[in-house]
Amino acid sequence: MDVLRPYNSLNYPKMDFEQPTTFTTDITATSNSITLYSGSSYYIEAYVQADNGVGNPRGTCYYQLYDATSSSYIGNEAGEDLTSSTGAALRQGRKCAAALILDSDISTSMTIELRIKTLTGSGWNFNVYSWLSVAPYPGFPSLRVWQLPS
Amino acid sequence: MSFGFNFPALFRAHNTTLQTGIGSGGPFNLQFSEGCEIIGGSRVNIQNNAYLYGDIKIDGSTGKNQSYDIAFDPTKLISTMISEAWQIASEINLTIMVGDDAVYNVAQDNVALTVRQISGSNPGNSSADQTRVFGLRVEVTP
Repeated sequence: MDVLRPYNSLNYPKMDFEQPTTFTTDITATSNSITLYSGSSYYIEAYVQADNGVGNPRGTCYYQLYDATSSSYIGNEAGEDLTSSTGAALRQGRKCAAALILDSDISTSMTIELRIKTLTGSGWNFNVYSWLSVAPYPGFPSLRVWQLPS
Repeated sequence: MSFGFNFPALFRAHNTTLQTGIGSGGPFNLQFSEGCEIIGGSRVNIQNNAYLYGDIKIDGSTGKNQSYDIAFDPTKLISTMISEAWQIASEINLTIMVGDDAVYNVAQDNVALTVRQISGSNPGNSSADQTRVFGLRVEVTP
C-alpha cells in the first residue's frame, strides 16, 4: 500500500501529487498521475481538500478518479456543496473517491489521475500549503493505493 | 513484489473515554484491543508491516473552537508519506471543504494516534471522546 498527497492543482483539473521516497507497491508516479501494471489488482481511495476562500461566491467541488488510458472516469465521485447559507448543505461523511481495478481491466498498464470533475463558484484554492492564513492546521489529504493479488 | 498477510492479519484498538487537553505531539490513550496489544496505554504493537487507519470522534461540548489535526506517530515508517486529518468541531469553517477526516499510513513496530498540532488560539481544547485505530498486517516480498 502506498500513500501519496494530492496537494495542489497546477494542471487543473488534474490534482498534483507528492510522492513517497520509496514505494511499497509496483506502481509508478508522475507529478499528477500514477500508473498501474498488469499482474495485480488495485484498490484506490483519494480525497481532495479545497478552500473556497473568504468573500467568494460559494460553490460545489466534486472529484473522481480518472482512467487516462481509456479516457473515462472510474469508481465513485465525492465532494461537497458549500452553497447554502449555513455552508456545506450537502455534507457527506467520507468525501472519498474510490475505485477497484481488477487485473483483467489492465491490458499492460493503466494511468490514473485524480480530477476535479465539477467546480462552481469562484476562488477555489487547492494548495493546502498556502492555507496557513485561513486554516492553520488543515492536515494533509491523501491518495491510497492497495496492490492486491489478482 | 508479492503481497500477503501476516497473521493475525486484522487488529483494532479503541477508547470510548473522553480525553481532553492533549498537547501537540501527545497521544490519545487506547483502552480496548483485539488482535494486538497496547503498549503504555497508547501505542498499538503491530510488530510487522501494517496498513493503518485511524480516526477520532470529537465531543463538541468540551470546547468551542477545537482546531487541531491528528497523525500517526510510528516507530518505523514504511511509507514516507504521512496523511494527516483535520479535526474541527464546533467552529465550522464555511469556506473549506474538509476531506476524509481520518489518517492513513504504513508502518512497523508500534504506533500511536496523536495530536499533531493545535491551532495557536485554541490551546488546551484538543479533546476526543472516541479514538479508533484499525490495521491490517501485510507482508511484502521484493
